[in-house]
Amino acid sequence: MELFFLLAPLLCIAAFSAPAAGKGEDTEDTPDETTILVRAVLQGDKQAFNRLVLLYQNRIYNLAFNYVKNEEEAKDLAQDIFVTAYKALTKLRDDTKFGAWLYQIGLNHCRNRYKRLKRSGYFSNTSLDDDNSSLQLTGGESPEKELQQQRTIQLVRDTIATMNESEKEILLLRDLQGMAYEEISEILDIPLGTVKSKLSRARTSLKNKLKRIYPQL
Amino acid sequence: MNCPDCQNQFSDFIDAAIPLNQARNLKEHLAACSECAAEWQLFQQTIHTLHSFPVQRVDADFLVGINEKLSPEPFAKLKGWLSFMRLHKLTATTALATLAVGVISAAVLQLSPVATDQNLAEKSSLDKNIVQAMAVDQQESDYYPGIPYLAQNTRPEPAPLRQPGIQFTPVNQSAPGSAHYPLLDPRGPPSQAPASFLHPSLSQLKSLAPDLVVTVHASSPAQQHTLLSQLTGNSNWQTQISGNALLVTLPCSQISSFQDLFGPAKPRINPHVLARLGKNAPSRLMTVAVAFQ
Repeated sequence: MELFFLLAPLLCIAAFSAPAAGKGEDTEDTPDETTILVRAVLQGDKQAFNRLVLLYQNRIYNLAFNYVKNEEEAKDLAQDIFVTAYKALTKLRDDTKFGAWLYQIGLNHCRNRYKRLKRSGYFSNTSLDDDNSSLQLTGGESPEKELQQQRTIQLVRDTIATMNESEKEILLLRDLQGMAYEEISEILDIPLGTVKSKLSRARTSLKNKLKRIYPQL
Repeated sequence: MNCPDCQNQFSDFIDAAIPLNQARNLKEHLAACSECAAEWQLFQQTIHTLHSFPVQRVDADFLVGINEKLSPEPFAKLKGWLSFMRLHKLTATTALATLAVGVISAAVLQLSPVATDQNLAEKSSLDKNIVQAMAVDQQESDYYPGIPYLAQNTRPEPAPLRQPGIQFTPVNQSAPGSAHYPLLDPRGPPSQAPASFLHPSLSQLKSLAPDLVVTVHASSPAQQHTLLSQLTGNSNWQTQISGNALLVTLPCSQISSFQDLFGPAKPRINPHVLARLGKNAPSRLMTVAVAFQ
């Protein structure tokens, strides 16, 4: 129950703070617009690709950031994802599935980069005191509350990092990227029922880990 | 509804992805079960915490960075190479110097008479031709009493070495090849050779088939007689005169004694020939043709 009291102010802040992933400028994205842009890129319109980048950049960047937890690394990773997508666009079979296809490329890049960084001991060198790993929350809260909020988010991030790959991915896609079950099903290429069951297990696992690892919360 | 069923539906319930009747049953269970209610609170907080993660926004130069990665810099390879040269100036200089030394060395080696594989092959081919011309697998040697190794000199000597009391007349060596193979030259005897020094014919030598041919260039009959006495005086050796050649048959183990007769100019025998003859087999005999010129 202490966790509830700790997280209650956080929920209030979140309600009035930055919009969730997939909203904001990206709400302008419609399947039709994406499809039109993809076709234009395939016909040689490079400006259309720039527009596609603008539509998806924040989502892809957040996906990358939740993997590598570093702004510069996430930026480089997200740029690489778009570069790969541009070079491989001619291999896209269904131009109405660009979003799912882009996320598949993104997840592959994230997995590879995460493994490489983990092997090099990158994540063991980051800490809460590291400016790059701290999160800047908006809102008029007191410094103490902001600090506590940052700490809670970091603890949850660290806990997610201990989960297995499939659980982590489905949590990122659903709860951090705000994707629908159908989109997740396309991206991960699994049935809808499997998405639900995997998501349920992942969420329950996260809850239990948080309760076990941080009983003080 | 029991507790496990209730908690298994938390995920669908929070996403409003369960039918209304199931949702109603779940709410009733949560109202009745404090343990599940606590778990539900914790579950809600966890999911809301995830949803409260701040959205990171990309920098203004994000798109520019992508276009930079997509458009390769012109002459990138050349620039990279030049920067490498600048960074590793010493290494590049060393590499160029090494290359220059290598080129010069190769040129010098090409000009100098080094025994390359090709030269050796040509020499081997020449030797093979000579052997074929001889038609016998044998060795030959020239012996000039008192003038060691004179037969190896292809250039005419201005003045012959002389020893008191003994007159030596070196053979005419103006014709290359005749000095080395005076008896075996298939082109015939040198035109300037004295008429008294008749060579055995090539067919004669073929019929003799000796293992070794020694040509003695003695200047006087007395020298020839001395050497003949030594060759024929050994009771272990069998001798037979054939034209101007003396065939000596001796055990291979006594080849050293035979060589000692010629003093410091003792005939050299190819080790391969000795191996073929079986030098260490005392009973094995070898034949040497000693030709007087």
